[in-house]
Amino acid sequence: MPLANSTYTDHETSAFQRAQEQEHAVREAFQSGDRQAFAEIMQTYYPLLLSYGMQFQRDREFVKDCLHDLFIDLWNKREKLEGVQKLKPYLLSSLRHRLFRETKRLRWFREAEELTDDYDLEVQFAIESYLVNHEVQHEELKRLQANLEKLSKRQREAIYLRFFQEMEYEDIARVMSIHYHSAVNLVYEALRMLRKNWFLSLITAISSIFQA
Amino acid sequence: MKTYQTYQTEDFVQDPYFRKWALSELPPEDRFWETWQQTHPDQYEILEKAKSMVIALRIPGIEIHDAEIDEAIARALKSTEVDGRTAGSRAARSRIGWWPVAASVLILMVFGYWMFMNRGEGTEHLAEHSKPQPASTDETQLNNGATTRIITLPDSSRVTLEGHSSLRIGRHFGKTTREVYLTGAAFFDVKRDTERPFIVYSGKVVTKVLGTSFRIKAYDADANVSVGVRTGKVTVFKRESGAKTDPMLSEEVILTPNQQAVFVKKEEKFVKTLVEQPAVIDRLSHKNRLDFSETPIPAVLNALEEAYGVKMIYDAENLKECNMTGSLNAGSLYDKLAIVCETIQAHYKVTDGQVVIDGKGCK
Repeated sequence: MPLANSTYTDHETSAFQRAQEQEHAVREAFQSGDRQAFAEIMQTYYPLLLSYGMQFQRDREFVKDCLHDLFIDLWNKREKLEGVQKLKPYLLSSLRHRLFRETKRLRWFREAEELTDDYDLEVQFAIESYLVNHEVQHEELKRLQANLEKLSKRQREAIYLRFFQEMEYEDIARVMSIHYHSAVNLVYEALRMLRKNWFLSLITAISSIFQA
Repeated sequence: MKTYQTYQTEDFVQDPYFRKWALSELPPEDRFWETWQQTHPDQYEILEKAKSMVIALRIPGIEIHDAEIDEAIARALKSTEVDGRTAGSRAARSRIGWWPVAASVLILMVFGYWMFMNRGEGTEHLAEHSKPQPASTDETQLNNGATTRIITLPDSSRVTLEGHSSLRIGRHFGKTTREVYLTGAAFFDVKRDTERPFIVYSGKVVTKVLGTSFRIKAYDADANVSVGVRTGKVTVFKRESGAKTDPMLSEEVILTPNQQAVFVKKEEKFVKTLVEQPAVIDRLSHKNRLDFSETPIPAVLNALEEAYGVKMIYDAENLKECNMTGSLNAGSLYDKLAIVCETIQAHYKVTDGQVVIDGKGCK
């Protein structure tokens, strides 16, 4: 199984390197207290962090409050950031911890009110919402839906991090606090299960929905 | 160039370049995949499958307006303006208002009162508790290290959490039941409370006890979940999809000391067997040494059965003429069974958590 992400073409490699160098420069400036660099980091990571947070918490304002605190903390700890190799997994994992912690605390005080088990939200695939909203009667699609339902929350989260956030397994493992191999297994087992239940007729059904 | 020839569906699904094509994100002049598909007809189906899987596994993003990000940045910059170090408005906290403050004051008062009432013995109490951290409700205990960690639950049950494992304590722990959620492995020493069953959820396996000690191994990456019993009686059953099912309705396995249930994830079935290293359970019989002198084999097996709490099945009529001289004090249960079987030219096997001995008898 080739697990490594990808080897880039020459053109891509240089673009990739340039992006990395640039990120490195921004980080250095940030660590030395450059507020413009701080804004740039937020500009880069805020949308993807908000997207990730909303996978666990539907309350957008709540996620935004958590993000606010997260970035303030990041600023206050900026000099200690040297040990952090990659910012993205670090930020995602901090947000994950913070969300669970804050949700717990919030629930402690407002349990009876509006808060339900929302933090137990799980990643939904576009096709799932489509099938639910349109009450599709297609036999094969219903079977696909049933198979997707078999995926665990953790599998869904790993798939989200792998495909939506385009992360390496090493970083997925860090964010989810699991082993490298567990991260690989979560994704591969999900894909294998789906592949085994895949039919040619599904292919046409799916393209008719999404590429019409 | 990558070795796309050897790629399977799963590999294509994960390939960034392939994904771009599947999601129509490549520039129109990039015809690589169309060409590839034409020149590799044997892979046609794999590619189509992978393509539709990429599409089916799309996750919708959320809509974010630039204004929203700008506003968040402005807010963060403002909060760090005064002096990065001292500022930091705790927005999430302010949403809750003054309740946490009031609550913590109240907790402090209660605690102070308790300390006051427990002068003298109080310090001892604290010292005893400070080593294994007492866990508060709905909390996740993580152990990412390689060594074990001991956690004391609110009911004073003790959990020895092995490396790379986590234990979540249910929100209503102790109300009517004592529920915890385990990933990884742990040994549980559960305080007896017949009113409030102790329930461990580990993937699809639910273990229910009143008060015993047992070990659960449930790493996500493993193919099996196993529950092995040291003392007492343990009920294990499968958690049906959906949140909580009535344990009465699902197939259950009852385990006695030294028995183990192995849940094969792939088949979603339990197999009952013995733990890897059965331990002597009865302290009394442990004192009674297992020394035999021309003792009939049924009596020898009976002694082993009592010592390990493991049921031995054999034809007593058939084996009553066989006897044995020697001692069975050292070694594992399996060593001892091997010695017995060697003596009488018999075989044993472990089936359904019991030992079955099959021999011709001695005439």
